[in-house]
Amino acid sequence: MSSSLVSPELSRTALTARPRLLALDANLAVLDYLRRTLEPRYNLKVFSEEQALLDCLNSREAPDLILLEWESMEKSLTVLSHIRAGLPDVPIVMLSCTAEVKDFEVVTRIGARGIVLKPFLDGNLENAIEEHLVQAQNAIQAEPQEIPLDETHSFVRSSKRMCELQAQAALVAKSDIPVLILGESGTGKEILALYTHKMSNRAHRMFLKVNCAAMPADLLESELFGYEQGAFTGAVKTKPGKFEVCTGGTIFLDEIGEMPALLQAKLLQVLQDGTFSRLGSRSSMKVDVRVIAATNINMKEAIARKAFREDLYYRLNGFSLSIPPLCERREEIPLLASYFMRKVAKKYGRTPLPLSNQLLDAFSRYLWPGNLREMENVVNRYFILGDERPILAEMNPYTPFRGEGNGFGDAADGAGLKQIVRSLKGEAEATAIAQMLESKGWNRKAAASELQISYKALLYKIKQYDLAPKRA
Amino acid sequence: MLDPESYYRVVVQGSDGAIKGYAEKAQWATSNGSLSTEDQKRESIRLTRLDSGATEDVPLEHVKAVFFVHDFTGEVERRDLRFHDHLPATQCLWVRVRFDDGETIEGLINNTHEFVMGSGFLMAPADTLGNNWLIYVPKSKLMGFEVLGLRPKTKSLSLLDEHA
Repeated sequence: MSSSLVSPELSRTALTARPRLLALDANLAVLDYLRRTLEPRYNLKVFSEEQALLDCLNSREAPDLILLEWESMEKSLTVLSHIRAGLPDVPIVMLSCTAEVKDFEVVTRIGARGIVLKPFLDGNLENAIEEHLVQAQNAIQAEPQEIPLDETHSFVRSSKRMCELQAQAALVAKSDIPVLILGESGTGKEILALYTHKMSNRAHRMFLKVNCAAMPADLLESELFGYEQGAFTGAVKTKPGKFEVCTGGTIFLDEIGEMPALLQAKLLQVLQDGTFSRLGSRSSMKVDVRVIAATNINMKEAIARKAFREDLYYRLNGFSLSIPPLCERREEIPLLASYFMRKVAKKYGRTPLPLSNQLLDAFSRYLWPGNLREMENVVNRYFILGDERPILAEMNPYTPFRGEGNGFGDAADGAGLKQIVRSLKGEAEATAIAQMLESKGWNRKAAASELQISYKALLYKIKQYDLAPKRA
Repeated sequence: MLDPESYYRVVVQGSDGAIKGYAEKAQWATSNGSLSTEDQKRESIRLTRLDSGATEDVPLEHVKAVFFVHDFTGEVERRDLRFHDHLPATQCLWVRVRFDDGETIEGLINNTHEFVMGSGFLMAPADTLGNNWLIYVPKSKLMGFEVLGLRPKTKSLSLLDEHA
């Protein structure tokens, strides 16, 4: 028998004007509190039993937001999973007495958008509801969003996948657990790291980027951890490292997969207890720094090759955010092109150039192996040239692969050097892909894995180069 | 030779030195795994001294702490491990108090030593819709006190700081 507590019916006019919220909590006093606090602003229905809530969800149109009590993994996981599976787009906010990081991670992975800690104080519940309703509304309308992060960077997104990624980053930002950002080169890992920092409680403190692949091991160690006077030849005075300089803030370790083994051990220590020692120092010091790391390599493979410490991987991977390549979110291409155009125009103090339908169409068909970085460069080139024709020529699909010969003669006829190089590059790529597919018996998933590209990207390239199995 | 199954190794640390010895387990009676109320009012500890073998009651009035140890040698060079040294403590405790008339209230109190050391403490009620926005709780009237969680500073307690 259901024991749902249904709020007093209001007029239909009033109902349609307010967002529709459903709330589940076994504690009747909490439900009463929710009604008294939220009903003036929202059309709220409250439930004290799971089944009553599920019945309501089955029988009526989807609500705008669901508030779910989080009691424990054993008691609350099933209903959360059930609702998430049935209503993947409805934001779910958990109401929890505990702040267990493990629970936090699980509910986020399943798809809850937020967690509000009980008791409800200083408007934390109302703020969370408003925040998630706005986010959900943006997602429904696929309304493109540009979130300025600093003078030169903005987080730009419009696709559903990037909306979800934004929501996950905003949620994980509130905790201090390490975050690992995965994605191909040029997909915007640094921007996502900066967004996570800006959404965190450390937003007013320093965000410091260190590229782990940009310098040799010794130099990287002294950069990260600093050194004492006389630690090595040339160490004429003590220098604090990035971890000290960044205390209270966020350090972004880009290309973490390239970090030398010696430093991996030292970084592990910092992540474990916040301690490290400067080069040449016998005493250790403590810092309070949030670490966000990023890589474009396959970490599992690097671990298998013993190139990356497994314990460090699991320590860094408190939460992982995986950015899809641009070719898997083509709907964002016009928005991004427009953003890059406005950005470069602002930089040079000029009016943005128009992006014609023809150009945007070419952009949408192009594979963008260099992702957003490549697109920004192309847009910059167009802005400087002031003529879209050379850009359109660049964007033209490669000459279809014919399977035999090097195709140089075809490409060379009347083509400029750039076009010849592009054609040869395309043919080399097509040859490599065809050979890999043949060697794997045309098992596309295995070939994609071996080529270290996504399955979807491989399918696109097969179509682009018109590849087919060789006949015996 | 004392039966290790029946005794704890303890070090009673005072300002003028330490007394090492064996304390009979039976005198640390527990209920449900916790020290009994009687132990919390303990005025002395009976132990068999390591140095003389004599059994005596050691008064606890001026003692810093009684350390239960694995062995009497210890690790002189060992530095205490503290996990939270580099982080600020969370500002408030979410607590449940039960008064001697049976009334139970949840609220937030400042996370300082004062709620342990003082004769009472200020509490911001968790029910923000009620008429009370702040409560002073004399500890002499408490029958129960439980910490439910750690929470950031709440406005009611911040207001007091601003007017302090």
